Amino acid sequence: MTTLAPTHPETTPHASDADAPSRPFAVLAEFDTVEGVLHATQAAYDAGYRKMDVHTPFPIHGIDDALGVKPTILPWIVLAMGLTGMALGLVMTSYTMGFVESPIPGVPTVLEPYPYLISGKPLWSLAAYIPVIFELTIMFSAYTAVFAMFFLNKLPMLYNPLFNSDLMKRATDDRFVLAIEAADRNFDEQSTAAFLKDKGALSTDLVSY
Amino acid sequence: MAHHAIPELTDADTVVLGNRAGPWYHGLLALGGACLVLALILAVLFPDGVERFAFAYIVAYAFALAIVWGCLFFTIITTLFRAGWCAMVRRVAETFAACVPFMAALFIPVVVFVVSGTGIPYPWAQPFGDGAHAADVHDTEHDADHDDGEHHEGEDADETHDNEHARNADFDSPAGPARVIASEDADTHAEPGEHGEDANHAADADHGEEHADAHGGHHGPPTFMGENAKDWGWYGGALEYYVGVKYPWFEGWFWALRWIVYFAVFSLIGVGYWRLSVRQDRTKDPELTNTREKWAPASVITFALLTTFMTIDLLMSLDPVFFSTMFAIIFFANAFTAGLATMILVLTVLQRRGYLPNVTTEHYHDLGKLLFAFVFFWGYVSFSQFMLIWYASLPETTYWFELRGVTTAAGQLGGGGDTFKDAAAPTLGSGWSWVALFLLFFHLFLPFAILLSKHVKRHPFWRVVMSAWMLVVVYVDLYWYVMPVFSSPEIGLGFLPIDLLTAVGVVCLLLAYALRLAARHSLVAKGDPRLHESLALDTNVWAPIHAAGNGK
Amino acid sequence: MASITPGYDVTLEDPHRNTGDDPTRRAPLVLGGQGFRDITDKAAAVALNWPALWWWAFFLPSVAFAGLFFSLIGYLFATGVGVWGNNQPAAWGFPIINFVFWVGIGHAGTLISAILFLFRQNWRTAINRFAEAMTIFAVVCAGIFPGIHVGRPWLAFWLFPYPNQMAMWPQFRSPLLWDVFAVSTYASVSLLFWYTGMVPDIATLRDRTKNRIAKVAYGIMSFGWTGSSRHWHRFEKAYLLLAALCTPLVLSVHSVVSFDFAVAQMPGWHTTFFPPYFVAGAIYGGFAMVLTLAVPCRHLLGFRDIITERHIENCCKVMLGTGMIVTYAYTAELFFAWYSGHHYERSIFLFRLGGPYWWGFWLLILLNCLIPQIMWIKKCRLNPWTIMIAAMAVNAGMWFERYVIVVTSLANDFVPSSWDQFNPTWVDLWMFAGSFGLFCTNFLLFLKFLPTVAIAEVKTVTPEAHGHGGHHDAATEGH
Repeated sequence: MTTLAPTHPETTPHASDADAPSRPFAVLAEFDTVEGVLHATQAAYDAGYRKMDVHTPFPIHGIDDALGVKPTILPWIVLAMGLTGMALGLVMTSYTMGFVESPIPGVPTVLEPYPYLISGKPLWSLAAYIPVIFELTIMFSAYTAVFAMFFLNKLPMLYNPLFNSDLMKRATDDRFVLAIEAADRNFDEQSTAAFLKDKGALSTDLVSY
Repeated sequence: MAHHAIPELTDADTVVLGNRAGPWYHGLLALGGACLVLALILAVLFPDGVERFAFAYIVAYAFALAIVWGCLFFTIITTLFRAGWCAMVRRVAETFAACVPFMAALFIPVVVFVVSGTGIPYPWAQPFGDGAHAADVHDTEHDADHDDGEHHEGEDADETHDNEHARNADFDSPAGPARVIASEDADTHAEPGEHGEDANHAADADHGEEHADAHGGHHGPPTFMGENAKDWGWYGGALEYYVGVKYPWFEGWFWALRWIVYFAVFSLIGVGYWRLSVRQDRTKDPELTNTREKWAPASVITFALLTTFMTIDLLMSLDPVFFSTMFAIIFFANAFTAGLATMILVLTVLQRRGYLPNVTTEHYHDLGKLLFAFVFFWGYVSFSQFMLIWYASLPETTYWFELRGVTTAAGQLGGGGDTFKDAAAPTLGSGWSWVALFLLFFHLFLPFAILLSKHVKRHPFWRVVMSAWMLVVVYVDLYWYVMPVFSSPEIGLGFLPIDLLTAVGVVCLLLAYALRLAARHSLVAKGDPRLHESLALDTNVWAPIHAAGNGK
Repeated sequence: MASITPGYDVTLEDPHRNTGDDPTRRAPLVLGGQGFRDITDKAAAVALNWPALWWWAFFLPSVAFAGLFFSLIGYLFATGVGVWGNNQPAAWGFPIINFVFWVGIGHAGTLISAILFLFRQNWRTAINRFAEAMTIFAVVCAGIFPGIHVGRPWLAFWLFPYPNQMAMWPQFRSPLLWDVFAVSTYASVSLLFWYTGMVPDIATLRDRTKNRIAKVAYGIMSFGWTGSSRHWHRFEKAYLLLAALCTPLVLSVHSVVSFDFAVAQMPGWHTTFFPPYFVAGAIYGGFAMVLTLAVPCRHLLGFRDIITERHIENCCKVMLGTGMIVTYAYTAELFFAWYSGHHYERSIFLFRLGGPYWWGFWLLILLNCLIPQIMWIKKCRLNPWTIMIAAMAVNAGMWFERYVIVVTSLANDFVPSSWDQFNPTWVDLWMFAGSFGLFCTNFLLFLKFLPTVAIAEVKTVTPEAHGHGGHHDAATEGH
């Protein structure tokens, strides 16, 4: 479990009032090879399980297909924010340097442009603004790539029931943990666990909220 | 888990084209020959056509050279990095790299231009010293307030110019490069006394006077630099001065020696790598790969140094006054772009004919990524060259951009007005400005945005469109470097048939020669010990280099 | 092709060497028969155990030098920039030289983490983490120098564009302002890149540490990372995007630094290929620093089988390669100074060759162009001592390169009456030394507290990570 997380379900956003503390969250199954977990995941997907995830110490090639993960929209968000940064840079440099007076009537003094002729360059010297525009484009894109990735992954997460299982301790080390959530419509504590055992799991664990 | 079996090479991969290439070879040869002959006929018929042909030939030659050099660089750099992914496609690059000796043959017309002594297309290749040049100096020496800072060693060149005199000088010269040469002569005669104003230059100027009659139209100073040559009066003086201070470089025998070295060394590299590769087809000896890799660092270093000098000789010295350390790097960026685009197109054509079934989308994707990277790299180096010259605003380099329509302010060349405001730059808004804008958008912005997409790089139709597009813009870029030396601010669109026929002709001849080489050997470097990596290529960047099962 | 098996060389004669050049096989990148757990153990051990004696032996002097650095900054603030040797005409002295030096070093980290990633150079995984850390700490040192050089450093925030009651904006045409944007973007994006890559490894430390405080700290820092495949999916995409963004960014940063010089009309500075030349020089100096840190680290931290001889050899080759680009640049610069035909351009290069700073120029040729040539010899690429000699030569040589560029052009400009020599003061020298103290302090703290090796990424380059585990097991057998 995350160390900063409160362990009492009453205080977590995931647990609704009606839930008993022992309400199951998922069945975890650990595997020790990439092939094993890929094979089991594919089998689980073919058996109709959808609300599942594989927790691995490193990204596994081919797991996205096995889990049916759709391509993320992250690149599009990054592209949009990159264009925003570029537009902001262009507007900022052109407006503050390129106008003698603000073209916008009634603009407050703090937002007035600051025309300043230097080294014979025209007021609007686009070539000299390119570096700033470029850096802002990169800055917006890169910040977005990181923050949107964590946002889409719902991280930082304050409480995650998965950490109630000791199996997860090795999911960041040398084991591959397939978790089938109780919310899946095919889920059954016994049969799901048996299914995973059958697919070669070293051990399984029922984890509760 | 089931592993993906590594695909096996098929007969269609390792086929030797042999006689099957015959019709194509003869077709290309005939087409290329016909285009060049037609271009020559047009050149003879058009006034100034022969001069234009010389420039058109330089553009076409530089373009063909770019393709060969790009493929040569691809060959040696992938060998240096011990790349495995490209084993399926590298034979195409190697074949073009082996065309260096043919490029030497195609260079013969350039030698003819230089030997003719007309100064076309290379202004330094005309008799300087006592005759022609002095008149030119005299043309510019009528400056009252020249800057002594730029003078030394008794070789006088005045960088500043006098608008008033310039304007007096033969304003009614009609458009057209030949007329410019003619009008320049008239110019020389028209203002015989001006030089006397400047005591420092009196000697030279008198010299010029003496020989003014002697220099006929052909041996005139290179005032074909634009119909407004009269406004560029300083250029002629600068030209003589700079040819003088760079003299050893423009010495005939030294020039010839350099080109012999270029072709000898690059033939050794290009043909050598191709030979080692085809030998490996037979022997399957991994030692040959070690030999290739052993010589790769030296080849790359040689490539960098000699290509720098070669670019100076081929393109930069069309204008002996101009210099830029970035210039050769821009040519290199163009060359690699052209090489990659050619590889993609040639591979596609071969696949359409049923060959190379094991060249997959993954290979095209990787080539496309490199193409994309070099679109950006070209933008980076071109912008750096422009921005630094624009920012420092030194007249001896900014005129180069002004000549090519890239200017927002009146510079040294644009003169003509009495006030700053009147001195509108003559090239702004000219055809070359549009070419420059075309390059900005079609060599950088649009291909960057389009090639950013993984789907475009992998799409069988779009990757062909983009490769052809990149070849066109590389040609336009080289055109924009070369042709303004002949005519600016007008592009001289009437000459376009000559330009294009020459380009198509030279490229067809190159393709014919490359096809002849390719037809003798397997289309794939089938002896490459890393071929299995290329056969099982997966461009997923997280995947390892070796083949891996993907779980399905 | 059936005779050639894809994958790793499984028949190593010596399990601890992987520097063979057999083109039919790729050498393994993780040696010593290590499974996933062994990699985790090795990489986590440094962060989770009490530091070794050598760590203290390096750390304490480093802290002392860092303290000296900050004391001298205090002295500077209290007294003024006159404590430096900067004066007309050489108004840019040590602070700018040190800035360019440090910001250049950072570039190798980004090259390893971003560009080599795009080129699918898997050997980067073992060294990318600490190379990125090196980037961050080098950029920290770099940022301090121009910051304290602005005259009134307490008003340095004026460099940023924000609406203010003076109705003034920064001068966007100024290359020095481009630096503000470039370096701040570079520093913050590198930090994000480094940290993002580290989150899964911090989660590994979180799950292994027995120390309660460490567990809480790593727990907070890892954001609750579970290794979910859906998370990895977006993580990989974000990582790829960051790599693709950092590649032009790293090009732009040193290009902008070169613009500081090249937009000027100063002979020796105004050269159009300065941007790529500076970038190559930056990577050159950076790789020298990577080697300076990697060679001792792999011995002291027990990473010999993770940072293998092959990794070190590859770094040597990259250093040699970028060194050849830099040598090309020196050659081309000299040639073009002659070819330009310009009086001042020619003069400044004659001054460099034989003028008052001839020793600087020839020292830089010796250190940057000649000594590193020993890297052509394979034996020298495998011997830690010769590697350190070459790397140290380049570290010093790249500093002298900036010294030559900054000082010679300024000291002997257009008008002989304004010529004067530059003389650094004791503050200059000790501040430069102190900046190394800050760098080393940060780096040693990183070694102690954070995952030094990209644990997750190293695991991906073992054969087991790709479903070869049960078949031919180079990493676990290592015979």
